Amino acid sequence: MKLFYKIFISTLVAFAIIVIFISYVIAKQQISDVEKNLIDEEQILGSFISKQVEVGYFESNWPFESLNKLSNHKGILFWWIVRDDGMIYLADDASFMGTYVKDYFPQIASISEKENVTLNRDQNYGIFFKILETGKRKWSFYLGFSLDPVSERKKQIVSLIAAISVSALTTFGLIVYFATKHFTKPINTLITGTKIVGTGDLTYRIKKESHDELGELANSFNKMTNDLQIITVSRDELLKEIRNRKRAEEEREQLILQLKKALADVKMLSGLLPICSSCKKIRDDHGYWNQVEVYISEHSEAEFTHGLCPDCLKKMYLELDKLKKEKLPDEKI
Amino acid sequence: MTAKLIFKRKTIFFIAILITALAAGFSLFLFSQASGEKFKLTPQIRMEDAIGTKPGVKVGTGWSIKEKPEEAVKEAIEMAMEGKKDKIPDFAIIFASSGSDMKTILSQANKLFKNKTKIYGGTSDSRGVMTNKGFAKATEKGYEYATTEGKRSLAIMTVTSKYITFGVGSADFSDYPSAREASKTAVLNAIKSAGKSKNELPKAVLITPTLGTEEEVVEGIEMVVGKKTLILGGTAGGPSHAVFGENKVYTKGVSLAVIYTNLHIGWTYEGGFNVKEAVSGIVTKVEGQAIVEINNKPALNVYNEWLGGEIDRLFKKYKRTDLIRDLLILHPIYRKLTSPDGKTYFLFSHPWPKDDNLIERSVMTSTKIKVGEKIYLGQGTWEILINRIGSLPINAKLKGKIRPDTKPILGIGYICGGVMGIIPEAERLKLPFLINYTNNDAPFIAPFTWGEQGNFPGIGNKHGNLLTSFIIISDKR
Repeated sequence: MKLFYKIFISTLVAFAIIVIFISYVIAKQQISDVEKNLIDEEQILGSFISKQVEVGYFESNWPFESLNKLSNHKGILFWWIVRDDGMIYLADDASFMGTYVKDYFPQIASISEKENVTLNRDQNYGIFFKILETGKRKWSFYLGFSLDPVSERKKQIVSLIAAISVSALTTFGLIVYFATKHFTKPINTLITGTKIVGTGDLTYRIKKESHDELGELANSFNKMTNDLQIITVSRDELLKEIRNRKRAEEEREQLILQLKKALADVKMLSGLLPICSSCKKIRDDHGYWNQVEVYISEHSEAEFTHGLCPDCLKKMYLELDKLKKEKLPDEKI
Repeated sequence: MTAKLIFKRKTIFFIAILITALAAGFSLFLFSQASGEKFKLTPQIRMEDAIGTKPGVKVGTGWSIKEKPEEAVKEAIEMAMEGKKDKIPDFAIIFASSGSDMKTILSQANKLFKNKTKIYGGTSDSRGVMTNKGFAKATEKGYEYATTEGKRSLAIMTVTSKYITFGVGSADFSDYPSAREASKTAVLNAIKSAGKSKNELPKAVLITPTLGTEEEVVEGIEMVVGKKTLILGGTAGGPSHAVFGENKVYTKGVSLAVIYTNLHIGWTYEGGFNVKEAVSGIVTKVEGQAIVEINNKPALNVYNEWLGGEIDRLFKKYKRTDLIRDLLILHPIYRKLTSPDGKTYFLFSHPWPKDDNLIERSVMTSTKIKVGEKIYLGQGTWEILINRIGSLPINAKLKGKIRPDTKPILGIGYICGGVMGIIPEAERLKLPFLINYTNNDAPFIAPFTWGEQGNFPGIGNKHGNLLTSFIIISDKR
């Protein structure tokens, strides 16, 4: 796998893991705080209303207006004033009046604490419960509230953190990309340079773009290439010299061969030549009698041009005259 | 490297960033989705107490909101009688929301009771009627805004007892020279119906007159039973009023019942408003039930002044007299009545502008206030009023010297429709439970009336508005 991708992916994944972990911790903490604030808020509200209910109990003057406002308060699911026998005496919704708490929340009906907040995160609600100060008869007050604010806040927090995480990851991804690209570029340049140099081009030099180790590496590479070039130039010259010499050698060899051949040809004309004493034909190595001029032409570089020597010329003309005279006078020659 | 390869690697790279980013976001998103189901509570079935506290006494209540009157009556009676069709009660109180087919209701009831039961009753306010079993809701709005189309309710109380003797009487005002005379005849008939002579005064007279002549009705009855005998009742609820007669329904008349018993009776007749004696005036001009002038000034002007200009301001903003009526319900006028023994009682009246456009500045009430009478401004909140209604049985017991924890045999209430109307609708539904608690879950019936009649000891029986009353019969003290 390319170095670039190794660095990039490993860095990005490591960052993503850190981001997810930190996001989770922050989100959980935030949500926990929101939940705690909500519970505190409901507890204060519940306690406040409970006090009014206690007064109302003794004065037979229930705080309907406050309870009515409570019903309309955002996030409130229900309120109940419960008799000592567990019957719901007063409620925000009249349909519940006359029924029993144990039919809805058996676990709370058995709580002995004076004040308690129970959460049901699965069904997204909480219940504030308080035993009222109503003398011997233990009436109680129930306040059901929604955990929707926590859920909404949770979504807001998570959305915000997700958005920040995504932005951070994307930004970091781009930074890592460009950084990795920036840092691996010299290496790539080096690789390219090495390949080029490897093909034999020792004139190639890497541009030094930084003053760090990679810059040093570029310098070293260039120096190495330079040295190689020097060495290679000497070698080339040596090679050239060798080639020249080889060529000269070859030429010499060629000449030698030619000379040898010429010499061979020349030798072939030295020694005893069997010649006919009559016709002057020469017998070659194969036993054939060749005309002198043929034999010499074949065994030397000499060439013949035929002419008559004065003696032969004289002789030839005398013969010709004789011939003429022998011939009939009507034959023209 | 070819361009294609470069592009491929860059693509892979960007996909890697995207996947990592999405993975982070998605995991957080999943984390946020653990919110679970939505919370929902469903009310359980309410257990109802057995009725009757004494052998030889059987009291039942029933109600219905069925559209067809025959079915409604049948359902309510079956509920009251616990399905025992062969049992016929001695006495029945029937109240149906205004707009109901009263003739059919009466005839159906008589049919089911085989004409053996004495029936008393009439219309309740169009918005419903109440028993210990709940608020039988009818129309959404009241008064002239009541849309009675298809929305009815009725309630019934049946009594069978050898310890209580009931007599019923009624009269159509058109058959008599006056409402006074009609009522006098009606109560005499009722006493006769109870098998008593006119010298045998009943323990209480329950009345339901139609709107407009209540003072005369009370006077007529007092002519027979005297000022000391308790007359307790309420004007038939509207906007269309009717009362039951003997096999007849009267739109201008009275239906009444007399009670004879040796059992203990406790009752209360009260307003529940705060009384501001500092704000008062003298009625200087009237026209029937309309107060024209107070302190020689137009009545509505004076009233507006008492309320810091709120009447005109409210009307200017909304142009609605129903809002003004609601405002005045919480700021009623009252008269102070002092008994010979020095006790002061407050007789409330419900005022409202006579003119819907507030041009004519008279104030209507459904009580007869005379010139020269001093009127005061009262003040209340719906919270005060709902609590007051809830404490009616307790107050009735206290006045009857009956222990607060005693469970009565029965209770009958008359609650002003205006008071009921000012209580937020969701809170109205709680009224039966509030009464049940202080009434120890004993059976009761309570129509919503358009005027209330009751007794001020030492003074006599009066007619007023915005009042509530409750009577209980108990075998124990």
